[in-house]
Amino acid sequence: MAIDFKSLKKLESLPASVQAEPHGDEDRLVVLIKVRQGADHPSYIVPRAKMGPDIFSAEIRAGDLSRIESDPAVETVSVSRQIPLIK
Amino acid sequence: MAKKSSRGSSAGASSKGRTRTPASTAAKKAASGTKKPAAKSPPAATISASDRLHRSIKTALAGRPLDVLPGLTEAWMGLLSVPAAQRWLQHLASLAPAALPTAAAPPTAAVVAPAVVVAPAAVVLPAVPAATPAASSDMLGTRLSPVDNSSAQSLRTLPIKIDTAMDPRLQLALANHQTGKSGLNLASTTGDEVAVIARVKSVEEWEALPDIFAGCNLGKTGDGSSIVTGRVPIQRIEAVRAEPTIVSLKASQPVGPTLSATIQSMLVSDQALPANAAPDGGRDVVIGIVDFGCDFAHRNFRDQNGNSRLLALWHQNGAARPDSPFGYGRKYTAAEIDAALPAPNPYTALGYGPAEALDGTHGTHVMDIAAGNGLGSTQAGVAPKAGIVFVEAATSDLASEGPATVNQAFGDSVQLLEAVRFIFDTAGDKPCVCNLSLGTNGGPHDGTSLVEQGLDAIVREKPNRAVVIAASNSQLHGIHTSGQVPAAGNHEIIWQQRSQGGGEFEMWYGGARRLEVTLVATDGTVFGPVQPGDNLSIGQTGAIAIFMSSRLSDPNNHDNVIGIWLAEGMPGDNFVVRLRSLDGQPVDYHAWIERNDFAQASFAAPVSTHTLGSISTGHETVVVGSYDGHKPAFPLSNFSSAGPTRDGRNKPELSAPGQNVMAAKSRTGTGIVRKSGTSMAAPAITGLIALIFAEARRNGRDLPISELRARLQSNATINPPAVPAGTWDGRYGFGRANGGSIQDTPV
Repeated sequence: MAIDFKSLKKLESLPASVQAEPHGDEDRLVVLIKVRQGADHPSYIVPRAKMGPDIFSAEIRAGDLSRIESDPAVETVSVSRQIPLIK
Repeated sequence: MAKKSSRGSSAGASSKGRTRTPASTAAKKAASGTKKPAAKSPPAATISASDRLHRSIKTALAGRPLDVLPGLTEAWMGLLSVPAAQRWLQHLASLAPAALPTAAAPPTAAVVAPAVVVAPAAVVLPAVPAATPAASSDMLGTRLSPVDNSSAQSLRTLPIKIDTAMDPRLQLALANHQTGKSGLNLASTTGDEVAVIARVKSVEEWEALPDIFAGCNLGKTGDGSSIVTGRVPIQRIEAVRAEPTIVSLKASQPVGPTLSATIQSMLVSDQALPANAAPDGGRDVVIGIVDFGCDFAHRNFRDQNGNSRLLALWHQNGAARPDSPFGYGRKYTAAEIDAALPAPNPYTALGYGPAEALDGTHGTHVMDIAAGNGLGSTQAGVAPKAGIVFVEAATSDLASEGPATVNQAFGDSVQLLEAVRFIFDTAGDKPCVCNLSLGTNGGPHDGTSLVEQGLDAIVREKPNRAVVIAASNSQLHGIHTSGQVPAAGNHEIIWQQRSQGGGEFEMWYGGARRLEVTLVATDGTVFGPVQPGDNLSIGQTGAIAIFMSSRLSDPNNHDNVIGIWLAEGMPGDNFVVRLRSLDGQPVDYHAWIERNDFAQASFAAPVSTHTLGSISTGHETVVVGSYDGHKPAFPLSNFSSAGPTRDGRNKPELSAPGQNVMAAKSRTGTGIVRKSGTSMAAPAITGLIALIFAEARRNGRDLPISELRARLQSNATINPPAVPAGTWDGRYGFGRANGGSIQDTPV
């Protein structure tokens, strides 16, 4: 099923070009997740790297975005996006 | 950004070799954060004219000494138009192999380097892929010459005895002379002479010396002696130096643009440092570089013994192993790098090397400015004794574009943060400063993006940490505008597409307001309106040509954002973004157009503030603008982006030399190349912070980021910028950073 980005209120705003691309539930996404202060990371997500007490990176199924959306421990989530070299 | 356009680029490529992709294909390619299978070959469309030339010559010279080609073709193309250079090189390629290297290279091949270099400590280094000069300053009597590729075992100590109290260049001139090297005949000096600068007690006695061909008298010094120039036969150097009138005798030096302008204008040479400061070149501090193309074999990144100064190198796109950081990429240890260095081709031996870019890779250049030791290029960077950790950035979804894309300059937000995490983890308890030269135009520009929050969090974890980011180079691109949508009636923003390259528009406004957005094409076709909280896709089945979204309450700052993506290939020039307030209130906004290095769209009425890059607006990071360090007035670089942030903070904080900076060129061993950009300014500050950390550590003090930032800002030099001390300029920041910041006094 295609991901409806519009329904994901915790998702950091995406560039329009990324929103335009349909994503299925099984697509793999690399994300940054910020949890509420003092909250643990969700048990269904394996952190890849911790950037501080509240922010970590992870690789998830696109379909997990809906679960993250309803998880009270999660404050916001950002899908990885390209950053070119400044040249 | 129209992502197809971005992906179509390659390191060092220009738009000349690019073919256009239909809008439908471009739309299909718009994905980010998704892993895809790898393709096997680079798209032909990504090859630039210069790359094609290089490849054609390579093909013609199959089996011949190919390593000379990058420098050779570049040198020729610098002198001739591309067609002319191509004709000459094709002609040369048809000749015998022996005719190529020396007959074709011009006498001013500034980027070429010897294949084997004998370091000052007489340590023999292994060969690295390099070009061979036909005539260069290496042929001067006061310089080392290239030697044939030899095994270390074949070299031996030569029976030369020279007075070691003499100027080292004069010693070398004598040594060269005694081993039979004939120098260049120059306009002012024959091959068996050496040009000298002398301090003498008496000009008359100097001019009367029989071995001297006197030059000019440059005037008296404070002690009454005089500075003079002249020419001395090489074999008479020792005799002349022994004359009673000689106080000092030194060989002249080839003068060329190097990193020295950066070092001098920032007052970070040993002589210019504050009294009592002894940061020792940043020893025991770690400099992290997240960039593209690390030439670990360049002499500037190896110590006196020829060992690597890199503590670790993480190639994020390399094949994973059990010890890969965060489960991906390939990490190389210092021991692995050292083991590869003696190999005939250390890049092959290690399994990693910088891309073969004609103008050298960005990462090598950046790394040299911050931390090069000058053992190859003769000019050290700002912190020549710091340890180095390099991360070759990559993006998590570009594997599908093949090897050519792998060498492109794309990171992504998550892997960028993981790179920074890796660098600080590798540094451990050592002070560490990390340099980033990545960014794009979109984003909230208020420091709330998660990647910026993540950078801030890492820096706050411990004292003695800093992250330095280039401001961006978009000041002339017309990529920002701002204004106010009136309470009633329409407000229009004209978005200029270039060469049907498409583009991406992003507008941010307060979360309490509501805007309706409509897009009007060049031919008058109207798309929309799109209501707050809605989106709209326009195109054909399976092919989106226009996508519009009106997002309410971004979770990080609760502002609203309107995004419009226009696929590459859409007809027309000017598109109108029409806005209308829905709640009877005026609405302030800022809008940006995403980067597209091939066909950058712009606003018809740009506003020249708020042009900082997408990750350059954090709270703890140090953002750097660029000026020209070669000119006495230190003028701003016209490309250097401007602040403030959208939430009104003063960034960039500082500026540094970033224009026409000569620093290490990858795959030359010792060569340098000129590059400009805020990417060249940021590593100068990175090196400076390494010196500050080293000095603080020497004094047993920890520096939290707040104190570091305050010290850098309070010591910045003004005039320029023409503002009162302590105030802020939108592009210079609080001023030009300098070595005064190294003085370890609490701010």
